[in-house]
Amino acid sequence: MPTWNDSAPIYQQLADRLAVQLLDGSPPEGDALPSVRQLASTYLINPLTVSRALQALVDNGLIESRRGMGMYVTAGARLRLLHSEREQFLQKEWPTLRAKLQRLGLGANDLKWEQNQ
Amino acid sequence: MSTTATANLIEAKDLTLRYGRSKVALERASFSIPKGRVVGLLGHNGAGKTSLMKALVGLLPGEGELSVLGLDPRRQRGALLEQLCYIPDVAVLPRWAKVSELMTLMSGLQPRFSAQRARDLLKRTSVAEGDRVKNLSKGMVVQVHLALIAAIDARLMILDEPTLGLDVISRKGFYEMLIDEWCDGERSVLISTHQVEEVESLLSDVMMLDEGRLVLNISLEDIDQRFTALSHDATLADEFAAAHPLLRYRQSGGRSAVIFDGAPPAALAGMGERIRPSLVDLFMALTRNPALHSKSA
Amino acid sequence: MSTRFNTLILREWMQHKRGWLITMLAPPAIFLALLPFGQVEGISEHGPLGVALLGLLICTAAVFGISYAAALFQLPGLARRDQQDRSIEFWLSLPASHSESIGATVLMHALLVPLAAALVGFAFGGLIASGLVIKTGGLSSWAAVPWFSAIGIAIPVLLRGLLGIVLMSLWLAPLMLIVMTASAWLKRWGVPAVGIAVGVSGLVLDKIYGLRIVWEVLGAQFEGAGNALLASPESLGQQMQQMERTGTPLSTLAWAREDAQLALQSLASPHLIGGLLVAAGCFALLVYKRNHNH
Repeated sequence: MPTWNDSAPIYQQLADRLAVQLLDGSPPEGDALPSVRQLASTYLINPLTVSRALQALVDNGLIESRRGMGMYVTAGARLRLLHSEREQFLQKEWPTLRAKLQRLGLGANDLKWEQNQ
Repeated sequence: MSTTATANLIEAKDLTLRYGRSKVALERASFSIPKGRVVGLLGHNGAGKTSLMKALVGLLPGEGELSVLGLDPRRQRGALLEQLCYIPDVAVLPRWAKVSELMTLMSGLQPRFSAQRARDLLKRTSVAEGDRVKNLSKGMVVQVHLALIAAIDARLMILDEPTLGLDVISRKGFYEMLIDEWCDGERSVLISTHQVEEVESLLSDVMMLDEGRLVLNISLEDIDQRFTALSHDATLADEFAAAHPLLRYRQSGGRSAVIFDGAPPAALAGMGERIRPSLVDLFMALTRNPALHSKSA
Repeated sequence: MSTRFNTLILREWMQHKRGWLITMLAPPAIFLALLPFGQVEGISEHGPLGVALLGLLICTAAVFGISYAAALFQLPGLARRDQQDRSIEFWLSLPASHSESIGATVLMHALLVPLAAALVGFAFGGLIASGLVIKTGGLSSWAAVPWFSAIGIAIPVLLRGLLGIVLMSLWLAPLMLIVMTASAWLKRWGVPAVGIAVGVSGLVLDKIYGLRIVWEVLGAQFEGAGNALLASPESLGQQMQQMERTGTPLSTLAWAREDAQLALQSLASPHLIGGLLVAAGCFALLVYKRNHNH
């Protein structure tokens, strides 16, 4: 069964997972998300919690509700998501990582960036 | 609290349940359960979970006010049982019966039972209609019982430890069935269980009993707002302890954590990282484990 | 409401049918199987018709009797049957009232199945009778029996018997329900407790106070039951003897009607009414016990 850690409320963790999938293009922009019931069944989460997660994505402008048809990925969502994820990384995660690299004395050449690209 | 009859499926006010003359199983519990909820009833053995559920289905008399689906469970037990489905805490199917015979009997006794639905649910298990209960393993008996009960088109499902004796795959199947068939916004489920971590994501609300008292009755949504859990460096343990949190515990990776009911003292808020107070942690914080208790007493 | 009750009756059949069928079918089957081998005593002085009738009626009575005895033996256990196999919780989770549940069980075991046993015995009776006739007189004897008339003679007796079983249940109801109630409350000490209570109270009242009331009440119940089943066996015996003497079949219809009337008349008795009140009280106690199963 999918496990949820203690980093954030469950609805937030689900929203984050769905966002990662959006980033990977699933579903693509303009397409519909699985219904609340389907998501609830897949992740074994109460539908009320699923609705909260979807609402969080709506609040971030990543998906929109089309009356009678469900949730759809908004145009430009992927780009917006990419941008905010980049910001998040550069502001929060990169400084810590860079400090560690400097402490270990690792430079750009040591990182072998060209591999796995 | 709404006063319209259709709003709440269960309404209890100052409900007190006793065993014999002196032992109090539940003390002045007040709560209400609206439709479209999955409510987890958590508590250690003897905390009063089974007594509460028996009272809800009219098997145990009590003091105070109790109304289930608008009916008095004790006085209108027959009518009430036609509208809800209930699994008591043990797998208690008659051992002499074949599954098909049980389906026939239930069709005749329970007007909302659908044999076809039971057959569909049975397909998810490894049990055949011609099997006899006494030839089934304990886990299969539970699966059959769950399938039979879930085939009742009821507005309220009351389950007392329904997953006891099921392996993890069967439990998963049960949770899937619960979500698929019972979470349509109109029905409610009250489920008591020990598997707190597993069911946490399925619940919309939780009620915690500790030695007969209702110590927590809250929606999962509100838990994040009411309780604050902070993860901190182990060296700060004493400072956090001095603030009298609800619970202190160690995390993996050498860190410690505390849970506060409400906001922590401002000074400490910055010294830790905000994490999610999980149901298991709250359960440990708010209820006394009788095993631990008796050791220290 | 009535589908629920019928379903509860069906439950009894589903749970106990094997035992019932064995009890009803095995004795006559065994008798038939052993018939070629043994000696049949005491019926050679009757003509073929007499033997046939005896076979029919005795088979009916025997199958009924064995079934009834088995049912009575099981009554104490019935009171706690669902508690002992732990299925009581399952039944209590279904919408059937306590009265319906207990009522269906008692009705089925104490009345419906014994009635069925009598019918089964009668059905088998033809085979047993034929067997006996052939055994004592050979095939020619069998051909000499006016079978249709024989059955015609036996049927009123059967009907009288069926009515008798129903009336007898009314007379025995208090005893049956007292035993069930005692078992429900005292478990395996129920039956001994009833026996001891009755015996001790009877002896004490009799020897010390000169009151024979316990014996009298008991006696009245059994007498009533016997009357209900067969009020005057002598007149039936007389009819049969007359048939023997003349060799022609006689109608038993008149006898059956008279006998039935006697049985019905004896229903108007304070012993029966009192007994039924006691039975009702015990039933209420059984309902109470089931309602407080926690």
